[in-house]
Amino acid sequence: MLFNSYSFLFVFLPIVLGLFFALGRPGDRRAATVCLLASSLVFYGWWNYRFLLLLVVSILFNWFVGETISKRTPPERPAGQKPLLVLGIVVNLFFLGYFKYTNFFIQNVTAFFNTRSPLYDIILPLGISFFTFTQIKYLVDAYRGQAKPYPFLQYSLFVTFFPHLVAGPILDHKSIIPQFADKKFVLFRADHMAKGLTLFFLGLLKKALLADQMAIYATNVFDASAMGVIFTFFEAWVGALSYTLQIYFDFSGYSDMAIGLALMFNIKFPINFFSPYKAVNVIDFWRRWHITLSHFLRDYLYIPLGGNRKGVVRQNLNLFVTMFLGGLWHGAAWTFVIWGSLHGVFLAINHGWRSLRQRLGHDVEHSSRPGRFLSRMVTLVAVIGAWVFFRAADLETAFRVLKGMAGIHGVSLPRGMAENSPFLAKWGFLFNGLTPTLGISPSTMTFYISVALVIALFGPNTMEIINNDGPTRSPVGEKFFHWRPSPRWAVLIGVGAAFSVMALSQVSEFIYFQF
Amino acid sequence: MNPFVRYLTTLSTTATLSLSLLGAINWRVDPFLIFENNRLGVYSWVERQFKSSAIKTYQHDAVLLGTSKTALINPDDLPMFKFFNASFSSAAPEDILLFLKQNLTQEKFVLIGLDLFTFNEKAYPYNDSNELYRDDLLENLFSLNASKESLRTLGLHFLGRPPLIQENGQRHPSPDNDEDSKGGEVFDARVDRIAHKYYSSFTFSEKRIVALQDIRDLLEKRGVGHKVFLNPINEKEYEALLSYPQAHTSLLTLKKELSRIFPGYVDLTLSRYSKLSYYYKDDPVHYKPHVGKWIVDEVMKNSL
Repeated sequence: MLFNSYSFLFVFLPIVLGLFFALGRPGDRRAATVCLLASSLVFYGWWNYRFLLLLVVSILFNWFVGETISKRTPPERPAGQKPLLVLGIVVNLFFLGYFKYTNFFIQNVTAFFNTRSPLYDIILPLGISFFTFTQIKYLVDAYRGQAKPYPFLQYSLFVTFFPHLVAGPILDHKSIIPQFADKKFVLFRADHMAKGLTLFFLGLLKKALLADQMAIYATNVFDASAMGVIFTFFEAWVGALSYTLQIYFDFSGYSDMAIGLALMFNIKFPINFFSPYKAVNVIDFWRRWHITLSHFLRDYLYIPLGGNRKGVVRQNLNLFVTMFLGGLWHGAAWTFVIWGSLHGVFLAINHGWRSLRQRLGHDVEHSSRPGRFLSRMVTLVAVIGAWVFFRAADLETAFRVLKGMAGIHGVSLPRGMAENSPFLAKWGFLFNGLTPTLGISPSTMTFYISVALVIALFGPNTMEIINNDGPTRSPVGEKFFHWRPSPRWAVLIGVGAAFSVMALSQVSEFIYFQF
Repeated sequence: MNPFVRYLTTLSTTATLSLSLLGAINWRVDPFLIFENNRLGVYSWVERQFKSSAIKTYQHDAVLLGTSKTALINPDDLPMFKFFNASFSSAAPEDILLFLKQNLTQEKFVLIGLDLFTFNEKAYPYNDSNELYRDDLLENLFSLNASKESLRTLGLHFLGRPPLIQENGQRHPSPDNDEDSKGGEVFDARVDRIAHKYYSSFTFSEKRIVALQDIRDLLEKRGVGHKVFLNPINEKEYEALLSYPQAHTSLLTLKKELSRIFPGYVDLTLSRYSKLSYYYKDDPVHYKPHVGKWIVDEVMKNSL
């Protein structure tokens, strides 16, 4: 069941909300909690009921292991807890590896040994990457003494809670499970419902209006490139730029919807995106993009590997390994691995640059305006270049698009410029129009991409709007972008809600469902 | 009243009213011809719906069927019968069969133009459903697409633009697209792209050959005269096709099958109608309406 579907919006959600609050009693939260848990299992099983068993077994196993480990807190932890932790992590990763990486492994081994082997028809359980990481976090925290034994009902709900189950955010048990224990958790709150609905529809609008429109252009370029079609400079940039915007609005839109849905049930989820394309460097980018994943990678991979505590060389290696695995987590393909590795390299370069500037006596926390502009542009170009690998069907396609972006396949200008700029023809420029092969009206495309770009680069993000933070604090921001339960906002969001309901018929999955 | 409760009430009222208003507009304008309310003309690509409906009311005794290529032909210019042009985009044999089964009544003659690309099951998956088009009430009332098309219909109608599809079924060619092709780099690039789409990894559809047999059987059973031809493709596209061995082999197979199923079919694949100037400057796929008339004249002459 997709969030952006009639069945979810008009059947599932109203029924679950109604039942949840009808059953909610401050003195006894059990009935409402069970209702929410059952609904979440129905939500998951709607996609494929066969994998419900996998989810349930995963929850039972991790809860049991976590409880056993967390019963002792340091320094009293007896010997034997570490093997149990290792067992827990290995079993989790085994299932993730089996479902996600078996065929990738077979393909690469057979390619290496130049042999043939049939691939297995393995269906990837929805959300397995997310609920696996969520529970590994719990096990490690239990080992570190940062998790107490939780009641099974609350733990199960924490893992299965439908707003985050299939595509994150990757939650922290320490901040979520205590909310289930709050007496007011099951009581209807109009403020939460108002904010939650607003966030939900803002997210849906981002998906329907922006992400899906960008997808049209990105798909055109990348699918054609995969078939061998070569695009000129502007066309290749159209593809890369539109995918950059598509994945941002798609994933951040989904996260907004997840956060909004959770809030309707009085649960506060962490922020997952915070205007990542406004980042001034790659380090900043990873503090704004898929924040819950980057925190997980930092706290459970980078820091345990040694972080920056063992010298520069080791730090760079740790960064590379962390991002390499981060790329692999996204998908079983070398394109994802290269995307992750590129970010590992970018981070290493960024850290090196910061160190150099510090040694030269610069204030790395503050830069001049031209400096900030330049670093934003460099960061954005690097991120866009890496996204090409993320989106491309294979390495060949990625390089084909990148070559187009570099102008190697030619730069085609508007036909009208031919007469007035003969010198450009001498320099090898073509005059077949900006998008001769793409076949989409350049003016329409430019309009949509420009609007999306302005929103991504300069507009306040959803969290700033709802929480009255950041740019909304300016006088202009206060007037236009600060959300409040006013009639104006109600009408605006109401019209937006109608619009997004209309867009439901163009059902398209969220990109991150495939992870 | 609690401001948040008031907010929720206003939000839901606004959403409901907005949806109702848009639904009312879509119902009244009826761009997809679902509610039989359309009085402004067809400005949306709803050929399948329009033709399934219009064929029942338009006076005719013969039908022309095929893809978008034949959709541009003016049926009023065609000889011997009063044709209705029932062609629609990407009409594969199973779509044509479905259309005939659902809509054939008193027609005396059926003329079918076929295209090789519709036999590539990889690019054009076989339509297993018993539907020519999806007819979803909620979607036609409340979808973004329906609303966009309603506004487009209203706008184009009041600007005085001609509808996309005439009463006789002819698709109105785009006014921006009228120049003859003279070849050139852009044209060649488009041909390459189209050839790649149509002919690469060609998977010849045996199921569609069965559909052709079913079409023949249906028409013979009902005593309806019929003729089949293979549409011409422009000479550049033919050159490109030859560079895809699988597609070329499939073309030869298709010709053999057509000879067997429809003896006397007319093969115009590479013919005098493949001249570049008979196609549009920005569109290597579609020949011009007057060329279509010449094609039908030749095919019908052969049927005497």
